Amino acid sequence: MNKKAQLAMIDLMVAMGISLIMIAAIVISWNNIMNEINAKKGLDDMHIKLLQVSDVLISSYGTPSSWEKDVNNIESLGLATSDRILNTAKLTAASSLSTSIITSLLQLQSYKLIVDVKELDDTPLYQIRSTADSPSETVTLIVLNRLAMLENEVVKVKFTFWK
Amino acid sequence: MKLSKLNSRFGNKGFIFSMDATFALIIVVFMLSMANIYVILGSQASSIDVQTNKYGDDIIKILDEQGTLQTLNQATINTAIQTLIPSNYDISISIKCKIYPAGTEQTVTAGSITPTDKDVFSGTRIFIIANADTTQEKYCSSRYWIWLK
Repeated sequence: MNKKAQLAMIDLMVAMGISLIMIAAIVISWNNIMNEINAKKGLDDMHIKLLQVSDVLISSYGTPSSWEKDVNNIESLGLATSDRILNTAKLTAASSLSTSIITSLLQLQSYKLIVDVKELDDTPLYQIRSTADSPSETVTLIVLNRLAMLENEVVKVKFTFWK
Repeated sequence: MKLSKLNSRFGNKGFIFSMDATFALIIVVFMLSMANIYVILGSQASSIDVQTNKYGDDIIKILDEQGTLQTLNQATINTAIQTLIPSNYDISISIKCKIYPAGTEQTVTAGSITPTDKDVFSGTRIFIIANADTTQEKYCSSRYWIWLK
């Protein structure tokens, strides 16, 4: 038996073993990074969408400006009379809109949204929903709390958002 | 004994190339690990930033809308802040007014002391206080700093 060839083979096997371990570590690490980036991108998209929706709802009056008088011809949804000054009639009308209309008007697609308008002591006043369901424990949920005025009183506006 | 024979047969070049490759792999793994850590840390920060920024802007808007900022009274502003700010946030407000026609300045500060060891988010709101009786006008800039406790 040629002992030199045997030693060279062991050297090769060890080198291949180390290489495989290192390559596996790189692949796992790369995969992990890509998963994190995708998850972060998904979360960032949700944040951007939620911010847009919250700004539209509490800062604009919608189109037409008195859409609450004719809910069959709403072009865009807004709950305010001016920036962060909410309107009772618009809130009442929006609360009675169907989930599909809210989803369509806010262009939520696969996102789900619940808007809770509460007094500062958490007494509920109005709720606007794009879904009849509640979020399950497994979904990634984003909660955004905003402040606004309603009838000269400060109210909390809680946005619960998930996909 | 056998080493010298092996060296003569294979030389030291193979060993050097293996070391080279190993170092390269170690560097790649290290860089990927660092990238991984930064991606995770980055994703944690963004969601908090957005909430904090928006909340600070909402508070200063409400204080302006209520007329609290226009009082230029530290105690009144502090009381209003306490009712608006959640327990996990803290805020500092500084109002600087230029009074016309006198040309003098007035400064009011309220809220907590801005920390130096935390991420702080800031914004500004401009307002005017007009007094019809004295024809005096105050052009004010209210700046806020908000942070997570």
